[in-house]
Amino acid sequence: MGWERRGNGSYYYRKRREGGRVVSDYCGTGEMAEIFAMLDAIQRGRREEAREAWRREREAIRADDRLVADVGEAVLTLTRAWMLAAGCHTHHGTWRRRCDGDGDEPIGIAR
Amino acid sequence: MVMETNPLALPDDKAALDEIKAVIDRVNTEAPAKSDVRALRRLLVRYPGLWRFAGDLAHNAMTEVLSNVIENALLRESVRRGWDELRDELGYQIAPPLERLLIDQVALCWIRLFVCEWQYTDKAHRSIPLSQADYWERRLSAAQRRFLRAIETLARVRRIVRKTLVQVNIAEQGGQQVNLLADAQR
Repeated sequence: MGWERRGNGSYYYRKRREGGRVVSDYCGTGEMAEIFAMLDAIQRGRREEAREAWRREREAIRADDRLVADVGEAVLTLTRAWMLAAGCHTHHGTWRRRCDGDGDEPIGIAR
Repeated sequence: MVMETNPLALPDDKAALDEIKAVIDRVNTEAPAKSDVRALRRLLVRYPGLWRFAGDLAHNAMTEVLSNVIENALLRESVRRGWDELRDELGYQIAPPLERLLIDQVALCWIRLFVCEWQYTDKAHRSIPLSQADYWERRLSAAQRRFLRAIETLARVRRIVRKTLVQVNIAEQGGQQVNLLADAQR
């Protein structure tokens, strides 16, 4: 989008993509063109605000996700530590309890 | 197996978790060295505050998540009560420390799922780009999976706790002993 000068006049065009090529739409000159330019600037501003708001929202969500992930990691570490200290171990993704030489007893799927 | 803790040994909780992680890798084999298993047990007994640290982490995360997402104080308080009720229903008050930890994890995942559903519903009523709609859909699915996984882990550990005969006692500050495991008869 933008103004193009030809001779003594300024003309406003809107650019759009059609298939693989860019197409220019003539919007006019003078006051009418200025109105088009103003409306386009407002829309660009709104799109930029929306992109910025979405970026801030995602950043806040990531911060919450990090908090939850910290908790999950601590819980996982302590759970694994307890299971191992209690005589269990993982075997091909399954927690098994050692049964004093009688063979391992499968307990469930390890995460 | 009864071990006493040194109440004066209070290192940074994160550093303690890192120390435990290092030993876990050595112990998580089919035939770990007995010395490594003993070392792991000693670490768990040496740092009795880790259970509370993780519980505090969960509570703080719950508070932060609710504050950041829900502006309405009444709704926030209702969800917070839901957290307390869910923990009570899962037996938090009578559960041993490890189960309490896992109950907190279930409750936190429930809070996260509630928040994701709340946000998803809010977005669904608006006109948002397809990429954002996909993003919220994936977040909701991930929150549902985490919630189910937390419940499965609690159930699995409870089954083991009720079968094992080994009690690990730790001494908390103030001289009180706490059983990490439930009685085998429960």
